[in-house]
Amino acid sequence: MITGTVIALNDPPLTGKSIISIAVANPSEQQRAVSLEATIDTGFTGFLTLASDTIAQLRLPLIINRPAVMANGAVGHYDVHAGSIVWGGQGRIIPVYSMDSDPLVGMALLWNSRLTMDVVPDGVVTIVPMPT
Amino acid sequence: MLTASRIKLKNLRLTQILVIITLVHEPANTEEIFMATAKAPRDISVIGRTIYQEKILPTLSPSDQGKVIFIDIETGGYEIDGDECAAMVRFMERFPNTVGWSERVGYPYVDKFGYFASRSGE
Repeated sequence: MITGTVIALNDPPLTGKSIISIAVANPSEQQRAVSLEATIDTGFTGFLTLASDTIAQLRLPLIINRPAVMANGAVGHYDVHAGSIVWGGQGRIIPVYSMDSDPLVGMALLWNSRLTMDVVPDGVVTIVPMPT
Repeated sequence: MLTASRIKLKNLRLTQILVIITLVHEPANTEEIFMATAKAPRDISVIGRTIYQEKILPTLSPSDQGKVIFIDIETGGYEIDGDECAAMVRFMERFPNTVGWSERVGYPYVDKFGYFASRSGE
């Protein structure tokens, strides 16, 4: 089970974000790894985004460029790297978008799991794999 | 400082300036070359889209709808799978050290950031 926390924000107030800790590594150099807090974003259909400086630090190989659509409908082209992550007790190589925002965990990574969260300050977030 | 720099540049011959530019932009290793490829996504998208639409798309079947495809823009070779991670790993093994183009068959984008509802509501 993966656990996380709901963090209250001051800007804007009376809302927040849910974060979990993940470890991401270079697929061919597992010792080149970093632990970081990622925000769960159920509006993001992909696996993971990382900031470009984190991608450079991990030397994640650049694999492809691809189109993706923003919330306003604008389609842009984004770089996708390969990253290694332990998820549900298993190592996986996943596509990682280079995006200079907070790291985001999307629905593709959450797929086949049960996500629960108490949406209050310091609320508990849990992610449990579901039988497939 | 800026003025001083301009004066210094002004005194240099064109060949000297070109040498400086070459030295400044010469990547130190292949890794930097690899990362620098990210700065020319337009070329990758134009070539990748052309290969996808003209060479690959006519050969796909309706059962490929929604699958993610990874295309090598040098050879036109590709990997396609409903499991995006599996397609990517195979692509990495077949085409190491290249930067390709990716599409989701039947869609103008591969992923959404923030939920953009199409007119069909899907």
